[in-house]
Amino acid sequence: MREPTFWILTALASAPRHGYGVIQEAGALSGGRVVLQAGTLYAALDRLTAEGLVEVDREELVDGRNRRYYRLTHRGATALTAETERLRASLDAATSQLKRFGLGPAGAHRSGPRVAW
Amino acid sequence: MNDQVALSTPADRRLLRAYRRLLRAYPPGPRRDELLDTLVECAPPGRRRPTVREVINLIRHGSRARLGRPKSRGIVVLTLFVALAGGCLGAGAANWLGWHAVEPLPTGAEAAGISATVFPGLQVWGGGEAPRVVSQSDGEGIEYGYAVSWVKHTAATRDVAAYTAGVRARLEAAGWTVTAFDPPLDETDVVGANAADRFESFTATRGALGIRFNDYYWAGRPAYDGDGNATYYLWQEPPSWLKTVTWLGFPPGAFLAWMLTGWASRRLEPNPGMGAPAAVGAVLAVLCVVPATLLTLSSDGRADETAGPTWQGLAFAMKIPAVLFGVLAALLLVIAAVQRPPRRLPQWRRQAAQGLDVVRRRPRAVVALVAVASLLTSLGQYALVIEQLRPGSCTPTVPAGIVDPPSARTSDQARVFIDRQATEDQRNLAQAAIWRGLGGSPSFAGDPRAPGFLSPYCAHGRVDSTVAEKLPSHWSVELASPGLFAGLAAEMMAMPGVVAVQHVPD
Repeated sequence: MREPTFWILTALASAPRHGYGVIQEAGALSGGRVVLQAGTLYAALDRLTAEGLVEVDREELVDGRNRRYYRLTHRGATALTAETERLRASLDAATSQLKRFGLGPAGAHRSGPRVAW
Repeated sequence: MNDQVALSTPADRRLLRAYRRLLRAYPPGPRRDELLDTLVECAPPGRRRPTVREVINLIRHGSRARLGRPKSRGIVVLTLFVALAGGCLGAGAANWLGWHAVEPLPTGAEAAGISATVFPGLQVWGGGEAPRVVSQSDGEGIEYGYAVSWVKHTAATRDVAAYTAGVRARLEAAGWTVTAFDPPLDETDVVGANAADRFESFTATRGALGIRFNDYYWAGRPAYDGDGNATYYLWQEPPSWLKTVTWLGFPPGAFLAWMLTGWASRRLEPNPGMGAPAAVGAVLAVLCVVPATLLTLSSDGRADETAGPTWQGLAFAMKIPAVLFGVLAALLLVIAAVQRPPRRLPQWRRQAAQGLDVVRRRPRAVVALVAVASLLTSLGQYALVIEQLRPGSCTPTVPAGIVDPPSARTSDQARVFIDRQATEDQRNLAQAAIWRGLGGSPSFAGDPRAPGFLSPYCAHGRVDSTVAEKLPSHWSVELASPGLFAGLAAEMMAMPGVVAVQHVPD
């Protein structure tokens, strides 16, 4: 699973959201590290909808704008859980290696660069 | 697009216009509005134009969205290849346009001046106009349209070395630069060669014009074969901008191919059974074009002095691939066009049902309509039989004398007609005269029942067999250049038995 996909599914886990809502939530959850571009977001939403991981929740008319909300499906939640397990296993492996060779604290304080898709 | 989006937002109008323009990269539909809404919400106050990152991101994903099928990576790969093929065809089309902007061969005083420089005081045949480009008869390459001029041998031209040196000196004095000079004729390994045979030639240029002079002398040959001649080929070198113009055609061709493939892909998306056949069709279409283009572009050699580097003939090498690609593409687009969204199907069925209802309510009108249609069809078939298939439906037109219509000015096709009563010797002499008149090796049609025999006489219909048996036999001649027709006609009309020489329009 690519990182934008991971963050979109994560952002939709708590509640159905529209496009801007997903971008904001992904930014907030990643501590501002992830900035999703609108084109990337909707390409991923199209793909995730076709794969059955995400579906349209509802459409609302807000300030004259037809706003479409998306929600995580059961399959989407399962895929996100599997990805989380995979990442956790990777994280555990890396952490134990760092501890084993006494390198842990040096790298742990560094935060990653801001990433935009 | 929803105008309310523009009115209800504090975003700068210029920014909205710029976003709308960018969103045209996406296929028409509600997604454009949805994206505009998101982009406007994301834009910080005071932003007046999209960022470079946004522009690239929207064009990239919009182009992808044009293809539909969000799960498929195969459609992207396939469309990239189709776009490559489309780009090649676009380059071929631009190459064709470029060639038609190339200066034509000189005519009038300039052409007469060149002729007088090469062959002063002699009766010169040939010259004239030529098509811009011709493909070589052996199919190996492309030649710039050239005009051949020639003279029958005189005592002066039979002295090959001296005459060639004289031509060279006169051309150099007139501003030409000699670029290549062939070594003297070497026939030491040729069985039965005459030691007195001579041949010399050289190539020269002046500006964009190229010239190649040849002087052949075949000593001791019988009169009907001729003892050679002196000729010069004149051609126009293509300009340096032709390569740029050719490549300028690539982007629009690729863009159009991408858009059409995307449209067809989206139309066929609801019908999963059509995906595989359409993909096979698209792959075949790509295979028709891309290998041919790569072969053409990879060869930069020249077949001979008058031939162009092969890539310059892209437009001409692409003709057949373009037709094959066009047929396949048209078929796929028609199939895509007749796909109807499911929601329209009931309406279509309703219309069909309405049509059937008319049949039930007005049976007499329908019977009358069918009767009229049947009558028209029968009349059409009757006319076809009478006009086209019935023996004697064509009265043949037999040409007489020299026939050189203006429409044949740039044609290299000619026919020579000889009386059916002519003796075999007369036919052989006439064929030798075609050779002498630079008509090459013609194909002879003497059997009235053979296919193609009647085509010079009748465009449509059939000729009565008793009439056909009295028609003159004929040769089809391919001239080295269109201007040679006058010389050929003069040579042929002096031959016994020849009744007509015809310049055939392209």
